[in-house]
Amino acid sequence: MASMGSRAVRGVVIAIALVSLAGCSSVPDQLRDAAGSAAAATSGAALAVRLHHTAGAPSAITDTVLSDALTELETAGTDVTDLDAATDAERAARSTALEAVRVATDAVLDAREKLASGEEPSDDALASAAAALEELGS
Amino acid sequence: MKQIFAVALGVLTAIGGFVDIGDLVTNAVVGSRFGLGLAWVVVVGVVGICLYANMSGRVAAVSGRATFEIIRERLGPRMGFANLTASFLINLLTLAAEVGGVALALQLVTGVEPRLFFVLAAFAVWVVVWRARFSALENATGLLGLSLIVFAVVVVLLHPDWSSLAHQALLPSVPGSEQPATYWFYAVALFGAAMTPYEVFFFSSGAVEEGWAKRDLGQERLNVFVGFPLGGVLSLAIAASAAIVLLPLGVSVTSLSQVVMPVLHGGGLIAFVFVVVGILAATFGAALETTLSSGYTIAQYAGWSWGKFRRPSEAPRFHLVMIVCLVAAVAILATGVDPIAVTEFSVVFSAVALPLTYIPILIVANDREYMGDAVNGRAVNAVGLVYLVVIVVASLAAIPLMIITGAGA
Repeated sequence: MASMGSRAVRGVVIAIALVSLAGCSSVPDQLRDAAGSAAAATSGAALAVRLHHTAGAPSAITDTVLSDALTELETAGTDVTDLDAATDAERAARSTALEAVRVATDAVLDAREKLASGEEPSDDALASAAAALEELGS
Repeated sequence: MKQIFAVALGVLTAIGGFVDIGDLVTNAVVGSRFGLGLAWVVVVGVVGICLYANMSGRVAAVSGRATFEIIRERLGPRMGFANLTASFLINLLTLAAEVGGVALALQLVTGVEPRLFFVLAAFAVWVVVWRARFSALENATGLLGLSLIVFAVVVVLLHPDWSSLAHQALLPSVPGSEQPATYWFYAVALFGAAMTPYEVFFFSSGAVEEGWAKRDLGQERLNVFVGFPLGGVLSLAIAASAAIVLLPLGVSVTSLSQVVMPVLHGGGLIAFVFVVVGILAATFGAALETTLSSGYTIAQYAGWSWGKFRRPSEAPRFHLVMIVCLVAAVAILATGVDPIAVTEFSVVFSAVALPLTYIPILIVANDREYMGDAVNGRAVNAVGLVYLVVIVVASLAAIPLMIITGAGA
């Protein structure tokens, strides 16, 4: 009885381990995922700025989208920084991704500052940063 | 005339009250990542909740007693306790998500950080639960929730490629940028969002609150079979608006602010006002319902006096449970966890716990001792058994899929 119970527990532990391992991915995959998330957040920020200009979206909602985008970019940046790059190629890819996230973050911060000061932010820098991140994420 | 008004009100309230933060977020996420490729899940979920709510409403109307009162009596205290524990914890998580949803909706209007609104939102929920009559509470939020029809209006105003949308819906496939496991994870999440247990606890307890009897079964069926499917159309409209605007731009929804962007894009400022009113009503209404559900489940299981039809002094423990749950919900949010993440977890765990809440209802709805000749017919039982299989499969798949996909990341 006791051995059946411990066998069952072992079986469950192995099953959970297998399922968990199935969720692991390589460094390039993780870089792509982080770049993809960052690209999505930056595209959203670009759309919000466009809607502020063309649809009269209130500053409150535009600022909320930009703020949410900054949170996403921060998370993406942390995910990239924490990657365990084992080869020179992986380290180079990580640096490129970090730089792209930094550019996007600067563009979002700039848009937010302009919005706060009453200026009309432009979506050009945001769109270009999003495109660069999409390239890395594909 | 009065009867027509009452019937119309019931149906409209069911439509407007169908969508909550889980439906809003999950449908928008799915639309922005998979287009209408998961529309079939909304249909399956709506049929499921109609079946589920109809059975539990019928049980309440015929027996005069609500869900947990019967579960404990019919299935015994141990099974009832397992059921109660799962239902209560899911309910608490959902309550935290809804209170968070109210705060996020207020952020859309004010630009103020949502955490500054958590306590205010919970307090407002408590005041309304304490003071407002049941029917006023249900009708006001249900009718204001109809503002979410703006999503359907905006879908038309966006002049989409209808044949492309139809193709996505009728011939679903996994986009090249997504994994099959992620597709199925969101299928389970969407199913969980459509069949959250609190809806059933609230619906059946509400039947007792409003004194429904066998003569009201017609109204009950109308509310469920007309109101809920039309509410499902709102869910599809949310997904469609995200599919039309956000998917081509590669914007996958991760915040409530992104959910409303298609509405701004298609309908401008006026549409934005409607959508904010609708989201506030939907999340606040759902927060009221989950708060009441938390009181209903515990009080009914424990055999305490319960119900808004009683004065608070006549049901003190029922009200105390609700206060404790609201405080717990705020405490969960105060840890800094993203309310959207809480929402996503709540819909997945709703799917996990569904068998525990669905099976007892199916058993009681077939028990002539409680139901007399109002037991399930053969057709209802056939569909009910099919859904039992679907629910068990979704429940077993939910956590492995969540682990494999990193909660749909």
